[in-house]
Amino acid sequence: MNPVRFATLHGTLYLMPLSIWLSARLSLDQGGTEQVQGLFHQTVVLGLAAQIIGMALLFARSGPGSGAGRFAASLGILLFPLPLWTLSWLTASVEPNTLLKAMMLVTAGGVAAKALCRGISRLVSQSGFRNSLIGAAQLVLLMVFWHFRSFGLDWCGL
Amino acid sequence: LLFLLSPVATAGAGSLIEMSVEAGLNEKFRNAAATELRVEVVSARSIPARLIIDDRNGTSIHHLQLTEHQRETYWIGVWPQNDGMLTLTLSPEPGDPIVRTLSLSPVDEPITLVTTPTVRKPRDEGGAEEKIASTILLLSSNLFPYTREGYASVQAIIADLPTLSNLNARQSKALGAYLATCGILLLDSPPALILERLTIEAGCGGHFIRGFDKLSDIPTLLRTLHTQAPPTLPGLSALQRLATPQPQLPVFIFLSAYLLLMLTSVMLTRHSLLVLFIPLLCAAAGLVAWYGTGEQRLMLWAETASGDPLARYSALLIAGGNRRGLLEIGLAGDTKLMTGNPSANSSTKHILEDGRYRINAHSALFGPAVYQLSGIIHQPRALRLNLSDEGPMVSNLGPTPSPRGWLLWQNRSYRVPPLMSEQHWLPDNPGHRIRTPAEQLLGRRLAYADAALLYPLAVESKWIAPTARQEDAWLVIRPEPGDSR
Repeated sequence: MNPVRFATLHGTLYLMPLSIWLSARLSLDQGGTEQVQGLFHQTVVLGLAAQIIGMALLFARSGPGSGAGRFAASLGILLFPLPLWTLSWLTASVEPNTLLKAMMLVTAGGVAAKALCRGISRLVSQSGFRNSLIGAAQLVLLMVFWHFRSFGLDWCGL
Repeated sequence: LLFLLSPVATAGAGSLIEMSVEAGLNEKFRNAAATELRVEVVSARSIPARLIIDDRNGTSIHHLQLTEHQRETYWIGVWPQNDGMLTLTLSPEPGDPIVRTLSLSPVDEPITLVTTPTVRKPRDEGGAEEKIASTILLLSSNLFPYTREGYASVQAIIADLPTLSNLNARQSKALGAYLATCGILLLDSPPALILERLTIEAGCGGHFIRGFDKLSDIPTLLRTLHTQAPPTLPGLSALQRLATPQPQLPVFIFLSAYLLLMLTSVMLTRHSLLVLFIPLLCAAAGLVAWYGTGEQRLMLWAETASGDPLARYSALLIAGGNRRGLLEIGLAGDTKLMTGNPSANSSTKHILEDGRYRINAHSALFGPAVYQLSGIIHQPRALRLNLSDEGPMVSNLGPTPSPRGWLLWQNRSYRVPPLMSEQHWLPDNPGHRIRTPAEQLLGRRLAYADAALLYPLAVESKWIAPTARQEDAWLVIRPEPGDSR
C-alpha cells in the first residue's frame, strides 16, 4: 500500500470513531464548559496515542515505499488530526504550545521508529528474519512509549 | 461603628496617595451575598487611578480620577469569598500600586437593621411561635448602606422617620432599590401620608412597608410579612433551561466532511502529496468558522404582584459559546451582575463612571461566558390576578387589550385569551398539562393551590444589555401578597 494511503487510512480508522464518540457525548451530555473541555482533552490524548502507534506501524517492516514516500506518510500521520486539534484549541481545551509539544512527541516517535528500522535493515540481511525483527523492535518501542506515557503527557501538558 | 480595616495604606512612590477601606454593616455579610465597601483616597496630585477588586465575582476595575489634596470617597458593592476574603488594588498612573486584603465576617442568618435612637433589639414572644433566625444590627442613619449591594444581606429594616430623613441622596437611592425588591421596612408610628408616599415607589404594591405603634407588634409583623414574601427569583441553572443549547451538529459535520474529503482525495488523486494540504486547509476553515466575536443572548424572567408597576427580574446573559474570541459586553447601570462560571472563562469588568459595566470576556467554542443579571423593570399595572373560592380570576384594568398568556393553577396550564379593557376571565376549560420550559419553570415555583399568570414580556434588551440579542423574556404575575391560598 502506498505509505500516504496507509497514513490516511490509519488516520480515518481512529479519527472516525473518535469523532462519532465526541459528537455523541457533546449532544447527549449537554454539559458545562468544563465537561466539554474534558471531552476534547481526552480526544487529543487518544489521538496522540493513535498517532504514535501509526508511526510505529509505518516503519514496522522494511521494503518498498521507503524514502520520500515514507517521509510524506509521516507528515500525513502528524498532520491528520489537525482539524480536530484546531477544534480543541477553539474550545480552549488545549493551548498551542501543548499541541506543538504533542507534535514533537509524535515526531520523536517517528524518528525512533525509522532509526530502528534502518539500523536493523543494515545489520540483518535475510529478508524474512529482518522484517520479523523490525516488527518486534517496533512493538518494544510502543511498549516503551506506553511505559513512559505519563511522563510524555506531563511534558506535553496534557 | 464601622470597623476600620486599614487605618491608612500609602503608595510607595513618594507617598503620593493614601487609601483607607471600611466595610459596611459592621463588617458583616450573609454567606454568598454581596456587601459594600467605603474606600477613601487622598492624593497629592491630580492623577487617574484604577481600583481593582478581586472577589467572588471575578475582577472588577473602577476607573477613578483623583483630585489634588481632595478626599475622594467611593461606595462600592463587592462579593466577598465565602471566608470573607477579598483583595483591593489601587493602581495610580503613575505610581506604585497599593494592595489591601480584607477579611470580612460571614454570618449564616440574614441581617435585620435596627436604627439605634428609638428601637432596641426586638424580643421573641412566646415559645410556641416560630422564631425567625436573624442577625440584629443596630445602626445609626449615617451607617446605612450606600449601595444596592449593601442591602444584599438585609431581610428587614426597623426604623423611625428621623433616621430615614437623615439619609443622604445616595443612601435614599439604595434604600429605594431595596424597597423596590419588596424589602421589609417597619416604621415607628409613621403618618399615613408618609407611608403612602413610600409605598408608591416600593415593590409588591408597598405591601412590605408597615407602621407599628408598639414594640411588641414587631415580631408578629415580621413573621406575617416573611410568610408573604415573594419567592426568590430563579437562579442560573433554572434560567439555563430556557436557553436554546448550542448546536453541536456543525462540529460533527465538519469532522465527517474532512474525513470524507481525505478518503476521497487519497483514492482519486495520483499526487498523494497534495493530500497533505487538506488537513491544513480544513484546520484553516475551522478557524474561519469558529474564531471571532461570538453572539450574546439574553434570557429574562421577571416577577411581579398584581397591580404592581415594578417587576423584579433575573436574567441570564450568555456571551459567546458559538466561537472562540474576545467579546465586549455592555450593561446598563441599574443592573446587578454576577459571574456565572468564573472558572470557565476569564473576564474583566470595567465599571464606568455612571455605574454602567463594560466587560471584556474571553469565550470559547462551547464555553460561553455566563452572567446572571438582576434588577427592576417598570411595566404597566394592567393585569390583575385574584384568587377566590371560585378559583382564579384574571382582570384587565388597563386601557388597552392584553396580549395572549397562560394561567398556571393546580399543575395545569390554561390559555388566557386577549382581554379587552375592564374585561374579566375565569378558566372555563380543563386546561392542559404543563409543557413548555417556561411553564415548567413557573410550575416548579408554584404551590399546588397557588396561581400565577405567565406572559411573554416585550422588554427591549438594550435597557439591560445593549449588546445582547434577546432570546426569551417572560413576566410572571402573582396574586397580591396575602391573597395566595
